[in-house]
Amino acid sequence: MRAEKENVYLSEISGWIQLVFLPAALVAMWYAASANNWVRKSILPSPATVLESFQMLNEKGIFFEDLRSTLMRIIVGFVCGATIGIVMGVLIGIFPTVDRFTKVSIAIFRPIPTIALIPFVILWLGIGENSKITIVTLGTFWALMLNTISGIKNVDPKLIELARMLKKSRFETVRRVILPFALPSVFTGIRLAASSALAMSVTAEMIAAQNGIGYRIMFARNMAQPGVMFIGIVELGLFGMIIDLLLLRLQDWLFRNR
Amino acid sequence: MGNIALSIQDVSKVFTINKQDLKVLNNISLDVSDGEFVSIVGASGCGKSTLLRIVAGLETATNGSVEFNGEKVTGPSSNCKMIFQESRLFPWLDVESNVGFGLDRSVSKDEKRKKAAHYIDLVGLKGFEKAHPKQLSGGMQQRVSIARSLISDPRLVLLDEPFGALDALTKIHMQHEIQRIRQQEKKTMILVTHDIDEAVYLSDRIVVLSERPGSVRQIVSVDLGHPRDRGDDSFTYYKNKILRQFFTKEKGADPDYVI
Repeated sequence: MRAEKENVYLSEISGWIQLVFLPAALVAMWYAASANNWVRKSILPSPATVLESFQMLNEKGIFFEDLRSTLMRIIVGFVCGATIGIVMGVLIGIFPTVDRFTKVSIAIFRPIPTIALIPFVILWLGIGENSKITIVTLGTFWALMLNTISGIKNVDPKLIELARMLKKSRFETVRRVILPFALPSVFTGIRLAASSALAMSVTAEMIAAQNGIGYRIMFARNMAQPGVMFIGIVELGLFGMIIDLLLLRLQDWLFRNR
Repeated sequence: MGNIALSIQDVSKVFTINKQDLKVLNNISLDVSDGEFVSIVGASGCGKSTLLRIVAGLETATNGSVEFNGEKVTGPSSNCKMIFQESRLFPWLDVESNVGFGLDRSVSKDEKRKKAAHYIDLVGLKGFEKAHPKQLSGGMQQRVSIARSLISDPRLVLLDEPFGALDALTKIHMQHEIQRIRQQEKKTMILVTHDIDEAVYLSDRIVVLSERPGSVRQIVSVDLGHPRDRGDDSFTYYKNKILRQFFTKEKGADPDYVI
């Protein structure tokens, strides 16, 4: 019994080692490369430089201000984009007439990268907060609308037929059969939209902003502060990872019965 | 047997597939009495499921008509429920809510719960009210779908190969259950199946359809009491009688070969 327990314990430890091995190795290599001057300091900042930059940003309160600004833009833009996307997706998925009226416009607008719209958005809305939120909204809207549409269109026709056999009204069929069935697909849209919201917010900040992670990276490039750039990049990676982990947890919990 | 509950009159059905007409049913007429158990057997593709779907109002006949309780069937009726081959449960609802889905929206929550409990008990799933479909076996899932169809207390229950996807042992058990439920609830039932054993075990009458386009080849009355013994000589007699129909080219002719 004891041996078995120890084995479980050991395999758990080895599982953890496998997870952190590569990141740890990368950090170690980075450390070795800068300690031995394999790469020039102006290209690859040393861990010490990065730490100094972090302390500098933290003391001035810039670090959290940037994080907060970016987070706010993501949240507001995401909520707007997701709401519009889901509502549009439901309307298009359920009403064939709406589908036909919007089909061509969607086909034309969809391939346009959101980045290409940034100059126009700035022209219309200025360089204030509104334009950045609009860009995030645009970036999240598509993923949600398209996933909602496909979720609704992929509803098992046998379940629709069942609802018909049970004499359910159209409204009840939508509410109790079609929408619950489409939900996992909508959630996939939410996860895609979340990473796209992060990307769009950083992009917008790089072009026109006075704060935010994207702005900080661009600013650091102009100021020749590779340490600050480095912090911004790692921050984005960790940030995106945490968001997706939380969403994955939520997804597993929401759809635990399926 | 009581009055005629269901009357199928000269029903034909033509499907148009790729601009080509395909006749699947040819002048089918059949009367089913109140409380009767009728099976429709036939080779696959003979249109027996289509016939059942026309009775259910899920499909319209190209020619002819179906009358249920003296009224022409034009769409699904609340007095007629169908049990499909797949259980068609909602994975996001528990057993109780899946069964409750068979009721009208106007039924109160309390009433719904009470009725659901009764029918869950009837199909032998007491204690599984809060389970979700994925936690149940295929046979149990089909029991849920049976309870969902019965909960609104329909007069007519249509069964479209309901046990076709179940293993042999579960199938025998479920056939027994249907027999028990039928006696208890006094329903008119029409079963579509290609399982002759199942048809003889359950039916008062068996309708044998010809190959496509399906027409009534023969109607066999099974004059045996319930529950039936599958090993009994008379049971075997009826089985052979039906089976022979499948291997006979023309009405009344000798079988092509002996089974």
